Amino acid sequence: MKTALFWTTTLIFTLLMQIGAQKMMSLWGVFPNILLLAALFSGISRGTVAGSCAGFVFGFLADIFSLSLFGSQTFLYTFMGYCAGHLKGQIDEERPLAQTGIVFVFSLGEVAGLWILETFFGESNKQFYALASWLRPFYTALLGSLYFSLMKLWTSLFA
Amino acid sequence: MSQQFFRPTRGNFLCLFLLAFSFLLMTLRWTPTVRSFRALLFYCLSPAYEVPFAVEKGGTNLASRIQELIQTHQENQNLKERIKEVSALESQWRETQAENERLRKLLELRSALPFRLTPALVAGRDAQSWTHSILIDRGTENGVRLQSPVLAVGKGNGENSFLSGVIGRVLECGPHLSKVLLITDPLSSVAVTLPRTGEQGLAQGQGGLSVTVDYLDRSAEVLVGEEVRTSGLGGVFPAGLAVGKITKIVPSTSEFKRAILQPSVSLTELREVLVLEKSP
Repeated sequence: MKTALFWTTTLIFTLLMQIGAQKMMSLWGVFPNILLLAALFSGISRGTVAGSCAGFVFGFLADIFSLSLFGSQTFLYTFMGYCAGHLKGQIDEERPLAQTGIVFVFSLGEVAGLWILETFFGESNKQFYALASWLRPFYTALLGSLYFSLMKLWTSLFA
Repeated sequence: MSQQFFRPTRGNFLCLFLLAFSFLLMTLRWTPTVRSFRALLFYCLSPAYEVPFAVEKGGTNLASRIQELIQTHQENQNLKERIKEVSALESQWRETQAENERLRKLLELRSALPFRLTPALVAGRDAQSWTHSILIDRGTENGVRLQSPVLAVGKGNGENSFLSGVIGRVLECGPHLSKVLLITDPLSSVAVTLPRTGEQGLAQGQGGLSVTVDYLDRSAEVLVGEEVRTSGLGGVFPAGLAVGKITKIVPSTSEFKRAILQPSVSLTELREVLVLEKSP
């Protein structure tokens, strides 16, 4: 019951945070990718199964609201959640720099992956010529450590 | 490492399944089923987009409303202060106007009466004996003498309506302050007459707010509401000054009739008085 409540509320709050981030945290058209952060945190804190499942759900949500190739973010987030799951227990709150680095690598991988998928399966990859697309990983990485700390606190409420 | 990463566990299979499913979504994205499914989910989840905007809008409105509320509160406080000031000023103005009116009449009176009138303000009262004596701000330096009659000014009856009536006599004199013994004090006695019948008596204080009129002839016809004035006997008060009105006839076993008199002026509300001195 607690687990179901945790995932439901996390899902809702993450979605709202992502929508809110677009409006309130946007800097020169760049805003952090909270959905990816949520997928990564799920993997890092709970393992590959939780990571891939969370990645699938959050990626699917991202796809619904995105104009990019439908299913591409689902695919990438699932894969990244799974990969993050292999880092379970290796990145704790005392290593914020490592968290920032990991988030940056995954975030950059997400943009690169989307670019590749759009190039091979999509109609146009022109959106990746914009600087904002490549600045997004930096912004997301900067918030990574803070988001992980908040999520850890949030998770402890359901422990 | 690679064996560990891809070992055939349920989690890995699940991940592979999800990846395959999402890849399938990608490839079948233009099929009517997937498009309808996506449209349906978008329709169901789109209200979520309105929440942060509603919160932001509500927050902005709330902030501006709080600001307005604070401004209104400050304005309200300022206006309340202003109202207080205006009320105080209005009260002061009314007071000054009334005082001006009284003093104007007093000036007119001074030239009309055959007495030297010394106007004085009530400077104080004895809190222990409110109806016994008052202090006035005039003394020997101002020509006030012992036993000088003291009259109240204000709304009165009779021809000199400004003279309300006798209130007492000067009991003690300082250079700039005098003590007036009120007619309600038990030590006070004023020779009075009932102008309607010419009956004479002695008004004596009882310590309260009323005064008794003693030594009235037993056969004298005394009516409630009848006016009582000074008789001029005794040499302190000149004749004809209003003292009060009879309010009650008291049964008496002695050979004299007794009545209760209500002073013509409220002795608790005295503010300005006149000290009478015969003109030299």
